[in-house]
Amino acid sequence: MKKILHISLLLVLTILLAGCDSFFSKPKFDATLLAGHWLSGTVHEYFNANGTGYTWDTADDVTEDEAQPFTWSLTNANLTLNHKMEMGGVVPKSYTVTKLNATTLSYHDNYGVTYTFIRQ
Amino acid sequence: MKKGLKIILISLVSLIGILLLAGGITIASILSPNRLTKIVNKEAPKFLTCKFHLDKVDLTFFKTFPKIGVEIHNLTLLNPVYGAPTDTLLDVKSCVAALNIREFLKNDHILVKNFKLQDGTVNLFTTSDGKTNYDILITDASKPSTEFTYSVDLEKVSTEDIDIRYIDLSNNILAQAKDLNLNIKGDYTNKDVDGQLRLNTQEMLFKTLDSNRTSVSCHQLDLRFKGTMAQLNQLDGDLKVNLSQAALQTAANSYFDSLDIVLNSNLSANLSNQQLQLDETKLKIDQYSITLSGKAQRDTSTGNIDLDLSYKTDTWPLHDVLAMIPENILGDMLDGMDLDGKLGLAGTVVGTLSDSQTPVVTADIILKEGTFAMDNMPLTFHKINTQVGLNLDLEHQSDVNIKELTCYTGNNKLAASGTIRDLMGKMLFDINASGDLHLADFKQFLPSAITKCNAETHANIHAKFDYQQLTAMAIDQMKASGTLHFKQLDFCYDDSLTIQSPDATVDIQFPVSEKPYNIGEWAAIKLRAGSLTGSKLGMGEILAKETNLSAYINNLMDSTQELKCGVVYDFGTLTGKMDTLNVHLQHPTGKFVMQNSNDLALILNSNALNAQMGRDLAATTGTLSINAKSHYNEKATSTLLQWNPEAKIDLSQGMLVLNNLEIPVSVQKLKADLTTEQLTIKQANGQFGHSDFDLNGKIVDIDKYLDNKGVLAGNLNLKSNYIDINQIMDIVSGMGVEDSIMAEVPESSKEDPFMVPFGMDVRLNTHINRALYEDVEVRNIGGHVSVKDGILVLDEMGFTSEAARMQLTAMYKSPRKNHLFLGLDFHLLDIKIDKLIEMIPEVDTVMPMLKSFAGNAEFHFAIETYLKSNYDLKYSTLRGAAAINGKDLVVLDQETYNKISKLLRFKKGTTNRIDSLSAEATIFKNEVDVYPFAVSIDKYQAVLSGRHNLDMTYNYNISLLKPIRLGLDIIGTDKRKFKVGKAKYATMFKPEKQNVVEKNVMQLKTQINNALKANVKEQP
Repeated sequence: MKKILHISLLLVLTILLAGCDSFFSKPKFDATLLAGHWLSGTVHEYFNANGTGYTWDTADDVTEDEAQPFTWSLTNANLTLNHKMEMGGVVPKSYTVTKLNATTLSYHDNYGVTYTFIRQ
Repeated sequence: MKKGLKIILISLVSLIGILLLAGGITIASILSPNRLTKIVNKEAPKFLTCKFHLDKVDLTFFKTFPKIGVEIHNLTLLNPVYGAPTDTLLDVKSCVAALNIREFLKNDHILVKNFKLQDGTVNLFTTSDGKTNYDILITDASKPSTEFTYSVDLEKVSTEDIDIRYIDLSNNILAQAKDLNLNIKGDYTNKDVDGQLRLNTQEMLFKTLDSNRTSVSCHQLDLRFKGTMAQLNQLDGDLKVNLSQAALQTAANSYFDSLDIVLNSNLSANLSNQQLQLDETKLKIDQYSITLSGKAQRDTSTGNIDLDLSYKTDTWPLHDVLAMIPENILGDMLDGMDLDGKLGLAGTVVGTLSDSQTPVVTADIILKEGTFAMDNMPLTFHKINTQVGLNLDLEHQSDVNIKELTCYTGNNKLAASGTIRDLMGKMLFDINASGDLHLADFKQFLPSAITKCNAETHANIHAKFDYQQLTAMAIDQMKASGTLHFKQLDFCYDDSLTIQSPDATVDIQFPVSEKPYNIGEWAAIKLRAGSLTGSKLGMGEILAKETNLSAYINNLMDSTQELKCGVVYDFGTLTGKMDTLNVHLQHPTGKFVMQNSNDLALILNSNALNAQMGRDLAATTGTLSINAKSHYNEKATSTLLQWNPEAKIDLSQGMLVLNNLEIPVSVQKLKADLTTEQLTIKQANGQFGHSDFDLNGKIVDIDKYLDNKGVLAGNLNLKSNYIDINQIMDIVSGMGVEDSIMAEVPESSKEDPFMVPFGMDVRLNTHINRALYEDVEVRNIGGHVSVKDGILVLDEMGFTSEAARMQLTAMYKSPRKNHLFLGLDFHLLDIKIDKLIEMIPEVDTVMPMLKSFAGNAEFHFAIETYLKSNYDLKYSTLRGAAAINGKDLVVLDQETYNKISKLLRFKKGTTNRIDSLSAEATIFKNEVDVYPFAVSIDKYQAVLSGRHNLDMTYNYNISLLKPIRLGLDIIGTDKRKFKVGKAKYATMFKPEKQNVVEKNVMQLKTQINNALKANVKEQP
């Protein structure tokens, strides 16, 4: 009986939280903060203010001149990177930004993989 | 002559008169010497105009035995004449005479039994106006002069030790003799003289007193003459003259100064005609004998002498004879020459001799054991044996006919015959010469550009040239033709072109009139040699066997011109070396033209070729035909551009081996045209490893590519029955790549990847029946392969295999060794999934769930990535998308299926067949995101999605929509986990219920699917 009570309380709490927008709404981030050169380990990402960017990984002996391009958009906390293929087509990648300020960028994908960059 | 005779006769008559007087007195008085002397002294002035003196006159018997004669002792005649060196006309110790007075008085016959002058002097003098000192007889001027009608018989007239001197100022002559012994015997009747004379003197001098001061002298003169003189005009007889130490001089020259001269002549002279006829006249000057015959006649009106003489000599030492010839006759003809030998002459002298004319002299000259040397001529000649005919005509043209000439110079034997026309002028030689020569001895005669010319040579040459050309060695102005047979030939021209041959024959002719090559042809040369080697500095060397060359060359003697030649050649074999290039040709024939060192043309036909360039290249052919031209430009930047070729090549049965190709390229037939601008392959079919090819097309802008001003463009068509792509990729990998563009290669990466050449835009249109790639054989390959500026593209290449119909567009770039780009746009239609994974194992990496299915599907795959030099993926650059559409697929992984069906509460007995499958995935780095796709199994419907990492971890979700809604998460790490939850994509495939995210996902799926299928081309 006690167990059933606990479940019921949890259910009620869930219903109450679900009705509250402030609980479910995602945070909004300033896209202008994204522009710039970010580094995570050996991975570089460079966001231009015009929605383009490029990325390279020095661990794979790739230089900045050899970086691969992408376009990006940041809506609220939804960051979409469309990586351009040289032979045509794009590879879309969606992330959720959890932190964006002057020094730090953090986002994760739907499978829980988190990426954290430091502005260069 | 007449004058001299007159003087002699007058003198004789004067003496006879005195003797007659003495005799008469003797006879009249039979007196003693004193009485006789008084009588003579008393009566002589009646006959003589000059003073006289005598010591004594007496009779003599013994001196005139058997006749009685008169002897006058110390007789002196004095007749001073102005200008004469002395007033003494005659001064002798003894004058003996025995005369027949009765004959004189009764028969007008002067019979001189004996007359002799002994020990004294005679001085005869004629003034310049003709007055003489010997005109001493008193004549009756009132009586007309009567003709000499006496007959004379001189039984013995002689002088002994008389010095006689005669000076004639009117004719400017002086003659004198010392110790003159004269014996005269003869008779004179009716102007006919018959007698003999012997004259001997110890010293004789004859000279002119004019400015020439011509003098003839000798120390001993012995003259004998026996003959007749008819009508005091026609003289016939034998003359013998012996001169010792004779000399002939003028004021300017000394012609000879000590010659012994012997003359034996049967002569005939006509005084009135002044004609001299000689029969077998032998003249010996020192030891040199000459036989003369013929006649000479002086024209009394003009003074010209007509000669018609023949002569023949004994063998003379040439050097001595030439030394005897006066310098003013020879002139400078022999200056600088040293000529000797044994000379024999025979010939004629015919023509007129005058101040303006010279007779024609012919001579058959035989020279034996001769020697010849000349200043500035490096060669000396010996053992000269020759027979020469000389026609010396100073008025017209003098010619020499060399009938035979053999000589040696050094160890060289020469023989010649021919003519020299205009001997005294241009000396036009027309010579046939042969010889056995050591060419090294003649190097100085060759142009300085010929720096070596050694050979044992047998030569036969016909040459025409003149003296000026000969002395200047202006060979290019001569005409010549002939054959030269060389042994051990070693020739070098300009220290750069060399030719060697152990045995070679050259036919040469220059100049030539034909101009087949328009190179300023000067000489034609035909060369035959069993073995011939040659080299040219900077161009390599050749070895030729069984050589036959027919060549024209320009004027090598003109140092302002470079060598030009046109050659038709035929070799048994020809081997050439240039740097590391070795070429061997079997029976090459053709033509080679060198307009100058920069303009070359070659026509070559050969039965076979074998070439090797160091260790880099080797090639063989069967029949080979090349028609090429080249204009060399040393300023060009590459070898090909420097040679600037225009070539047409036709070969068969070729084989090409390159150092960086593991296997040779076999060319059954190649027909191609090559210029610096383009290579046109009309036909090229052969075998390359396991692959066969039939290629044609063009490669253009070669010059721009080599000059770094453009790219190498081309359009080639390739047909093949079979291509082994694996083998070709292994073979051609890395050709033509510059390492300068490479970044530092990691230590771990030491393999050489395939590097695409730069600066090219070459398109290859392929029609290949079968090809092997990896382990998969594909068929009916049609499409284009292009290489453009470092990018290799397989453009919409369609082919089939047993697993599928396929279409592939691929791009490969190699900007640097450790950063290679590979992009694939791959479509497999109606493919068996198991075969797909077998053919392309990488598909399993990208979409590992596929191996859980079996059946036919349609697979579209676009992926690109950069690779390391060992072809390892650079995962950070991996991008891709895939779509698979299939029906009636079977789930193979029974264990997984059983687990899923249990968790999702499938009914027992539900088959593992999937009705349809339509899935899309993207690849980013090591993440493969499978977009939600719906599958139906039996009555179950589910949506699958998830992520598969390339480290083989995954996170999938299966949302069961029918018959119940239920979710299942499958998380794979080291240990697979299953987690049941609610259906994640309950409304994904219900458009009317899709939320924004689901709509976006579906749009992406559609976008990916459409993009992947957009490039699919219908295959025939």
